[in-house]
Amino acid sequence: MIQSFIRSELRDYLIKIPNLDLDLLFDCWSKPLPEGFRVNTLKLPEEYILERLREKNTVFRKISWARYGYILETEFQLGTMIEHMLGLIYLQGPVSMAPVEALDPSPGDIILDMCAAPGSKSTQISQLLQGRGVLVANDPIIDRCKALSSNLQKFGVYNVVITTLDGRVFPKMVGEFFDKVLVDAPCSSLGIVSKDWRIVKNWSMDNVYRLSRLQLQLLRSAFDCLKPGGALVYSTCTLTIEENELVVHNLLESRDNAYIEEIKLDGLRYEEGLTEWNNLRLNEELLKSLRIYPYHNSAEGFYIVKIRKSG
Amino acid sequence: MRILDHSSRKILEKLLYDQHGVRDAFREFVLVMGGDGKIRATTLETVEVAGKIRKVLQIGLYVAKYRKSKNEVFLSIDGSQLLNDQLTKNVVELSEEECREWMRGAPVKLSTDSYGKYVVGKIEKIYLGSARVSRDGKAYPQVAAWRRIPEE
Repeated sequence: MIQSFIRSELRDYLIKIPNLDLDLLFDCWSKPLPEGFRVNTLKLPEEYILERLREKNTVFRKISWARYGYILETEFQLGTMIEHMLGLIYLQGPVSMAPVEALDPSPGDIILDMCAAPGSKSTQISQLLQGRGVLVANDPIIDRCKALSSNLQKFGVYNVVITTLDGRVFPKMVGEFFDKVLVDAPCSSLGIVSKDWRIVKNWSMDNVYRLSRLQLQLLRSAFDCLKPGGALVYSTCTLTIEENELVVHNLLESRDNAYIEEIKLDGLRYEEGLTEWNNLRLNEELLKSLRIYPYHNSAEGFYIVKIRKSG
Repeated sequence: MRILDHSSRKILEKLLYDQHGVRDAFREFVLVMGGDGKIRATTLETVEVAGKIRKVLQIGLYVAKYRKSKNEVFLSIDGSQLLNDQLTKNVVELSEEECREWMRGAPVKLSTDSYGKYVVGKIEKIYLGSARVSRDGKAYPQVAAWRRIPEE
């Protein structure tokens, strides 16, 4: 069914991606994504909240790569539960929890979430900060900041500043200031097509190039406002090379003090990042980046890379 | 938005002590207040970071609303959870069903009339924010519309 929505331009593009199994991809796109959630330990102990969920006949299993992350195994409307409205649980896709785990926030860090709305990853960062340090949750679109603000409130986060800046202005404004930065960049969303088939209907290479330019600007800005020794995670929920490896390759070409770190996330399945595309040799370090297809974990598709600034 | 000065903070502390028995409420936090009487709790370090950045939309966690005209304070859901067992007075233990009613913003009939004018709802270890108690013995929860659970 979904194949009838896919434009030939997209199909031709996907066929060129090495090691991508198109049949498996299309099969995943036609199924709903699993319902994941995180337990909010900022408010109450993990086991206490899980016990409340069990009492309400929900069945779930632990996500191996995400602290406090679970996948629902029964049909249940988590979104209407009191526990959800009170912020004791946060609904979030299982693979979407991986970028923050890769960033590995520590209590006391000053962290920028550059494209923060609607706040899934911001709440996850704040949970790992445990109330110490500061989170700057930024999104340039004020309308999207309403959801960001509501979610951070519901989650009970007090060490947070919400800003509405263009992410590209941070280095000029604060210099090398942050211990860690997350750039979960706006993208063409090919990893979450199951949520909305219009993603493939409206996909175009022109849009990919436009996004790629913006992504590189955001990534450079994120890198430039890191303290020496600081680390950033760049992630997208899409599969195109122009929005992933090429963006990172261009950063590595322009910043001598940037290098890629290995990401170790228990049980998460992925392919290594690509080092060749359209006859262009890319930086070998990109092998350390993670290319996660929807069929790897029967969940969202993502690209994740961790970059450190030497210092 | 301004940082609450010593005297304003004392007023808030006295109200929360009188209403709910909390001593030195939010003592470990910096409190800031907006023009609408909304009080937000945060840390000194967060205030310092905010001072370096432009276009700050919001800082910290909304914990309470102060109404100067009536000299009363209401705790938000998250403000009451932050205080948790420091709340020792006018705390109403709710059943699961009453909890759902509360979170719909519907009035909840109190079992005794020994409560004050304001109560905080609670179920097990979970706090649900403030309600105003009316003369008919019902608690009217102050749950923000966006936070209410939908009708079944």
